[in-house]
Amino acid sequence: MSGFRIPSREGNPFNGHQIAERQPLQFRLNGRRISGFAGDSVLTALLASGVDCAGTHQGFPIALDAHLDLFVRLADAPDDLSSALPMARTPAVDGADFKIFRQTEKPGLWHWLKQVRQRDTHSLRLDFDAPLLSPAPGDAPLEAHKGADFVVVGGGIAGLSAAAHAAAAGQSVILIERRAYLGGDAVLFGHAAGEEPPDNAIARLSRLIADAGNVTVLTSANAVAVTGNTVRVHQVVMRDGRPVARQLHLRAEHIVLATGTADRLPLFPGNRLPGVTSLSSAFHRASAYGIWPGVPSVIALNGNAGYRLALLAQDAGLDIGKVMDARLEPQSRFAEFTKAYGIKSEAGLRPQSVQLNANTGGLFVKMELSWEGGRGDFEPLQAGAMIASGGWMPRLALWQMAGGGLQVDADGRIRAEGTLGSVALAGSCANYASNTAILRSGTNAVDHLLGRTVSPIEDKVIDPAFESPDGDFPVSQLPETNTLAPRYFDTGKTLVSAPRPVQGGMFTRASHAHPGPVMIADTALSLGDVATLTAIGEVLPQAFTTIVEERVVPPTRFTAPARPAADSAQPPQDAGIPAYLSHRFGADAQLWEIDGEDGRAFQTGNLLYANSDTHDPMEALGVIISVTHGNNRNALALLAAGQAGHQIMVRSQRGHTSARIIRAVTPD
Amino acid sequence: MSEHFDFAIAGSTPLAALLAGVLAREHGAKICRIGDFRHALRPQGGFDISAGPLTRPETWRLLRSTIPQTLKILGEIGDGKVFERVDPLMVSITQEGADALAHMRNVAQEYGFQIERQAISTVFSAGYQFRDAVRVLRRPLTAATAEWLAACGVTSLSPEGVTIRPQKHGDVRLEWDGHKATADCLILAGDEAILKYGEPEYVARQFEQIPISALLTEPAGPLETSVVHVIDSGLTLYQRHTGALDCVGTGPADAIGEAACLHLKHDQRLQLAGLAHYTGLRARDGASVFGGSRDNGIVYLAGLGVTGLFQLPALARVLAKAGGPVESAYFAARAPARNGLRPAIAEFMPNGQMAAAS
Repeated sequence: MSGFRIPSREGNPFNGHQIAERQPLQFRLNGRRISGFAGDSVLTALLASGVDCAGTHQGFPIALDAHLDLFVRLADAPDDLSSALPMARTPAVDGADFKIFRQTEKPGLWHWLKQVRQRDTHSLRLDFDAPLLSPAPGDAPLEAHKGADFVVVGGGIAGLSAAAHAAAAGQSVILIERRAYLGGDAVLFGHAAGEEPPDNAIARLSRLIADAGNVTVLTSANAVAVTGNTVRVHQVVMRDGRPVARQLHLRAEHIVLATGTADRLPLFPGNRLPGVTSLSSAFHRASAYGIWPGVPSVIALNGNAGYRLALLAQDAGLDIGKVMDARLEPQSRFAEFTKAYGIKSEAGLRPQSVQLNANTGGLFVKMELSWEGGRGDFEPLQAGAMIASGGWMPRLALWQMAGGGLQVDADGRIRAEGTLGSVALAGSCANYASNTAILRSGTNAVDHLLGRTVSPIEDKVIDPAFESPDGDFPVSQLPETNTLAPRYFDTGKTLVSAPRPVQGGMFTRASHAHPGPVMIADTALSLGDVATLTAIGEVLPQAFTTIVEERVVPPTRFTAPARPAADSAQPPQDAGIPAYLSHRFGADAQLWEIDGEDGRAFQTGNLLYANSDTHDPMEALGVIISVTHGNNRNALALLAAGQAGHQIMVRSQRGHTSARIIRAVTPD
Repeated sequence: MSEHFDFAIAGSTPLAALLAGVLAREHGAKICRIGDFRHALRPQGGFDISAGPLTRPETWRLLRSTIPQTLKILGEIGDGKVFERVDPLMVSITQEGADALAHMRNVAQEYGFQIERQAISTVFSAGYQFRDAVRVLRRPLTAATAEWLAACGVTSLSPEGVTIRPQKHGDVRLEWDGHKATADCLILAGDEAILKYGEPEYVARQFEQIPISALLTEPAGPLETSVVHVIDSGLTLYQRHTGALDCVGTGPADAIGEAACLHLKHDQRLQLAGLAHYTGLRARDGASVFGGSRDNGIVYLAGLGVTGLFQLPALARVLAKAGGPVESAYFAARAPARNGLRPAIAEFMPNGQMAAAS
């Protein structure tokens, strides 16, 4: 079972608000015909067409998703990095001919044979083990863009609130959102009694912004770095019916980072197999594009948002096979609703491993107790898909790049620390939880940057007795093995996984706290990678900041400088004595011209001796420091002592050769 | 009653750790080592290779005897899997660098080191490749050293929370976690330790501070060989078995990354995976430093370069006052000079900036 389009029906919360079902389209990708609808991205059209596998990594399939940051180009665009378009942010265009960009595609008979295997027909067949140079945001053409008083990064309710408030204060604003639509994750998290429903807040603020006249909204725009007062952005726009990428450097007096939170990937073997999806990805694909990863679905969570997704999915007519909660006795109104809906749920369980079911194309999900050392003798669940959540992590990469501080606890939970002059955080990335507080934090961030008085925000969180907080980060206790798929530390393109046993019978230590030999990761890391490494004890909390500063780096590519033309004309030799030869042959060593007697060539560095009995450099009397241009039987030598006419032995690669001292040379 | 050590050795390099163990085990000294190891995820701060761009014959003569002795020590750590054989390539861009490499070759080969002239691309004026040199694998060494040090009887302390106070009479007072100790001599092994614990005026007089960048790149195509050193700039590259590069050099990261690209056989592009900046020290004559001021018992160990670890057995003997005449004279000549200049042992100096390839 792979991804499919959810049948639309009235009242379906997953009707796909981005797509126009009355406008079907088709395009080609590497020659393969893909169907979709207007409003799809290249990625969502692929997912809806059942292509859920990007290729292989470490010998196992890896799920296709936005986090892999794959690129395409139009087939008729120049085959260089400036044409690269991110698959997740590039609109599907009817009749377009796309090619996957600069990825190594496995050629040959073996892969033609593999076509007959079910999984490969759902795969892009990319090789993630080969060294790749992926396009970087800086490859897109740089376009001039007017800056603004405020740049707000993030189009969720915190960012919308900040943008609207800054606009109302008469400030010019640029609002950047990486998705094609505004709203963020608020609808997934729901709202508490008495709070403004997130749908209402999004609609209200979007109207305010649209009516303001001084807010520019850039969607499908990814902020990649914050340097000083400049936000570097990579965006895909449509021009003359064609998607093009552009790079913008937006200068702002003030920057609000309302970048929200990201799923933490629970750590278990198979956590990125095709069919395994994060909570946020599953929600956005379903609500915006009407795509579901597979049924029956198993949801593994350690927080309350997963129950809400289960409820929404049930409302959409989707089969939720089971909800497993790693917390022992979770309390949540959403959990109660789930039970009332008849969805099977069980506490105290977390994923132990996931494997592909070769017969059905689905998954075998093995569970273990989230206590008692992870005992797991449960019958594996058969599922069409798994939605896994290990909690939430504030998206603070831009904050960190801008120079903001971070702190982490032993469970890998990150918080921002300190302040920056012209950059403020807002929303859930600043650790606010309730919608009211998140909205307020957006306005507060603007007021703070404008130097206005701000009052503290009361973040009214429901009593933990009624709404349990997120549990500890779920880590499978299963020992590492080469027979199961890797356990990845994060959802992104870094593809850092726990070290696996060395082939040939040399096994690593297998406890989850020390997953093996010292981690060696040869790609740039994500904050999520380092957070997971902290949670499993591979990075101590006190080392976290240093590791992040040195390994969570912005995409940076180096190319070789232009080569100088080969220069065969040697400049005249400088007769000076280099420092490394000073006092080598005594303080009174002098320069002498010498001449070879038997026609053999000299070379710089040849040592000179009194006779051929020795070749110990400590007994050398001198050394050739340069050969005469065009005649290397005549040379300049540094000698401890000399006399014109005397013979001396020169030691070369071929042994000793005699030379005669001609005359002393005085350096210019 | 406070504890007493013969030596307190401060430093987080492999040399600092192994020196502690060798002094304790082979010379019966009571050692306190103050240092951590660089986390395996951090870009490599340096390399330990048995061949380097050395022009002074006495250094090659020393290494001829100390390399096998060092290998014996390394063989006892981590089941002996803490080093590998490599064929380092030394290249130069300038004529001055080419001349220095030629001198190096003529000297090194007379002491039995296999080194061949190589034809490199037109960018480089000279290339010499050592055969069968040894490179220490810092990560496995790091993983195994704590246990080895404990077996040697070394007291190991993390630098955090340790206070070191040199005293007027040459000894040193140590305090940590409510403990107190004294040591007859403080050895500052490595640039980081010298900058942290050295006497600021003395350090400023003897050394120049140079900015160093350590890069890790994502896997790339092959280098000319797994270890490359550019003598003019001091850039050193190491290619891991995964294809990732460790690059250490002076100056800004961009220049180092671009210069590293020149050594890729094809597709000369690199993607950054990690970047660390730190301050290194260089003696004003480019040679190593062994010794200190006469006013106190601090011994500075600096500028030993990539081959420093392989001088370890001789260093330990001389510190333990058990050195032979030749090695004692070698290190005596490397004592700091008042004005920081020691013409009799000066080495080839990289220009301190990344040499432009064009």
